[in-house]
Amino acid sequence: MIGPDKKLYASTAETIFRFDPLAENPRSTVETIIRHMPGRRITLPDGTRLDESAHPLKQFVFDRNGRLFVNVGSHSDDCITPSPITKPCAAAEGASAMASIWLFAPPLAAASRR
Amino acid sequence: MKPSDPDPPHTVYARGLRNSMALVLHPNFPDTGYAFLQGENGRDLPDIFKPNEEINAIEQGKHYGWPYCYDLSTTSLEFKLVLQSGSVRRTGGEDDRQHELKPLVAISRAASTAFSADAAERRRSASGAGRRDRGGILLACIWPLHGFRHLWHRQSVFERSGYRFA
Repeated sequence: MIGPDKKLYASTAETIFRFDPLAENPRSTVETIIRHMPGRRITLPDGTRLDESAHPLKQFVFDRNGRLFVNVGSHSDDCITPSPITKPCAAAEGASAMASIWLFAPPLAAASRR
Repeated sequence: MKPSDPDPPHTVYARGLRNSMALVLHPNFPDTGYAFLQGENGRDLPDIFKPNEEINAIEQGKHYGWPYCYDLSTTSLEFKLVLQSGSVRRTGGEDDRQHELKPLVAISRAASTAFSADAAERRRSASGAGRRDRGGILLACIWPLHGFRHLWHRQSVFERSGYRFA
């Protein structure tokens, strides 16, 4: 994905990074701009540890103001726990909810200061 | 957001979206009436072709149903007690009590499907759910054979520039 600063953006399960593909040494231009998103190995709100969260792929998109929207997929297919389920799906609640689209803003501020 | 800030702050823009495998914005977004569309893989029912996949028109702060419901407004029975307890917000009308917003389209996993945004617009107008996708230029294609089954899948939404609704 080409970002508003014309750099190439890509994601891992936990990070989004960017680099200049036209630089003499593209590798030297790599900058990680977001870290520590819920990736493959996560701990759920109830303390359960998962080695393989179900949907770690971080699809993302910029809007024209340089805001960044990121898919933080759900940790499981259906959040079903042993019956009876009486509470909302905890992993999908709160300020770092999974099964959500996260908004990071404003990414252009950093680019324009460079 | 800069390299020296390892954990830039985020907000949860929209929730209840199981896995947003496709995200696409109209170039004029976030102006009023311009689309933010999302292609979503639904949960896995025993029948590998069920339920449908979804295309949603994303609006800030809305909940799109997962894991409490799927398809256009089918309740996940496993969460019946949660829904009855009222701890999950219900703001839709009529039969739409779990989704705050229904999907624009629910798309069968049984066949590859492409649809254009005007079809989505008609559906959306019919549902009365909002106008966010007016002026959309979006051509969405979904290959709905869902991943992690015996058939690989990928769904994508493509922009088609120069397309406007009358």
